[in-house]
Amino acid sequence: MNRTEFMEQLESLLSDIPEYERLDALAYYNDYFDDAGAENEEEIIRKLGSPQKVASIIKTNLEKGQEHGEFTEYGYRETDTEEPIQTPAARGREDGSERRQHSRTYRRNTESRGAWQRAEFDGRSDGDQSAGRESGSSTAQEQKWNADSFGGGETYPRRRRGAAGWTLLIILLVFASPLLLGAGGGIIGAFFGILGGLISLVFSILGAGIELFVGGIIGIGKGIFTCFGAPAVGIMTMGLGFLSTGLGMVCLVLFSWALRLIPGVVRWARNMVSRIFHRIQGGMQR
Amino acid sequence: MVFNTGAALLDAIVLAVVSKERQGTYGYKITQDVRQVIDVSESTLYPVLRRLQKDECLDVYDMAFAGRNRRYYKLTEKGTVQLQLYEAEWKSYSSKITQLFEGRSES
Repeated sequence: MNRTEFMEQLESLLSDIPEYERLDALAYYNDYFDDAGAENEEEIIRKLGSPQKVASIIKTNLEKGQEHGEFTEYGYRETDTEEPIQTPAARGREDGSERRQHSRTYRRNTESRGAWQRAEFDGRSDGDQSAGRESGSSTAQEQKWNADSFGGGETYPRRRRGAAGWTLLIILLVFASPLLLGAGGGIIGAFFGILGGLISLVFSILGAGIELFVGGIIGIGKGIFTCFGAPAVGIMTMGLGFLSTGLGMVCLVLFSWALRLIPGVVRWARNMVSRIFHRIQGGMQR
Repeated sequence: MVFNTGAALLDAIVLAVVSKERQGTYGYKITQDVRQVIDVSESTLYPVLRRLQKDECLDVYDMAFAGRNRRYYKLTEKGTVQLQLYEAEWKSYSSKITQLFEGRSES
């Protein structure tokens, strides 16, 4: 690859970033080649690695913005460094090829992350001719990205398990449907029956309340009239009338309480149902 | 190199390198000077310079050189202040570690 090809590839790799950033980056690297001199062109290309590597570094930093570090599976890690991670876990792997293999196992999760990352992986082995430090530098970047994808990849298995879980559930339902429809139907019927009974109870209280109340008032009225003719009977009628009205009022109060309770009951029922479903879902995801 | 260079330290080094020239320097030279001090790959420096520019620690200007325009970076006032902060932090940080190491080797 020569400089022109390198810059052309870089330009197309940067086509998805804002124009100002792209032009700025291209100007920088064109300047860089110019200042290095034509005789150093090949070496510069080798040291830069590949257009993919350069482009991904630029894009990662654009996304990152102000953050200076990130959390990877090795713990909090400062980015923009080129040295390999010297954690106890990584220290055992002094051999570069081992590290490459380690990265390869993460690669499975990067596949959805886009072609440019995969291309970076391939490009690295091409451009990687100098000793330790260069391979170390690109590996560190790789490990960062692979760490990223590893973190992102974690969601994938979970989602897949969720889908598989639902499939299994559907199969189970199909096979169990005779029993489920029978017993399930019974349970559902009972549930709605009870619910209906409660509702009708509430409304019958209302009905009774209205009747008693109205009847009571009528009784009071009648009683007053009867008082003129037959006082004792009249007073008794009035008394019964008042009693009835009182009972009617009690029923109406009961009814208004019941009305306030119903939304709560419905919500409780809905909660129970959704909680059961979530427990099923959660159990599958585990 | 054993110890990671965090983003902050890298910023500090770049600012220090640029501050050496009052009129500013250009990308290629900055990269070579930084690589005298720490082992970073050529492709690392551009994002750092870009970020420092966005943070208004560096100014850019173009100057004609050998028939083309060359982009120069130089420190702003804010960049100078930032560099001084970094230097003070570094002194404190590195001296504590040095004390720890030297203290250990004594006992």
